[in-house]
Amino acid sequence: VIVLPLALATILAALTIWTGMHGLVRLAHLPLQRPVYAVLACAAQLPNVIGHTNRSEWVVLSLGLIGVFCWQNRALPGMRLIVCGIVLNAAVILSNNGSMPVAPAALAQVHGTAVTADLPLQWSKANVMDDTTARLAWLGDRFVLPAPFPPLAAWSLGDVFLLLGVGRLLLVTMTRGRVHELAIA
Amino acid sequence: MTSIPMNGRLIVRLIAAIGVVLSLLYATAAPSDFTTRKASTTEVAP
Repeated sequence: VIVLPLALATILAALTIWTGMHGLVRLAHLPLQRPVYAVLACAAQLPNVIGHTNRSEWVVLSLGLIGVFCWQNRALPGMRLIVCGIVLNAAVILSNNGSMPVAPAALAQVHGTAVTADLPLQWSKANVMDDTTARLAWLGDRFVLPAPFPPLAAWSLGDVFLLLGVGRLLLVTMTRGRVHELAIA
Repeated sequence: MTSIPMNGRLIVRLIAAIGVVLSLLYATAAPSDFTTRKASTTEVAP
């Protein structure tokens, strides 16, 4: 649950060290359109993550909301990578009844214990499934950061595209633009 | 390099921008991290 803010904080910290206060001022003026749709899409995931009920329906609702957000912000840098990530994750989640399949081997690396298949995970969209039962298993959570990085999470290919897209969005936003005009505005 | 003052309005806008980006990630990314737990029959709703 906390690995996403951790990843975002790491990207932001690196970019802030590089760009300084100017980068943060530029980020404060990121011209996001209809941001409420992203917040609503996030909220629509809660029943899926907490209650594990009607998972596919909540995923479809969330995808619709995030689709509007992405369309409204299609001109932003990194948005194509972000949309690629969304499509890849949506394909595998919708193919598996609204849950992201996580490979038992990858989860064993993260938790340090052996995990049997066909178990939902608490506070997660994921369901432990081996490659024989998961559809589009190659798009599921199966990648763990190699040593010396700590194995904090198992990532999907879609997650990688999403983080690259967000990284590009923040990189371009924090390094381009006239800071003094923004700060005065 | 000249210094740029961060006033209250800028800080609110910065937090809002980061919040929206985080919402985008939570809505779309699905990593299985170390805080997830195996579910038992008593832990997960039917």
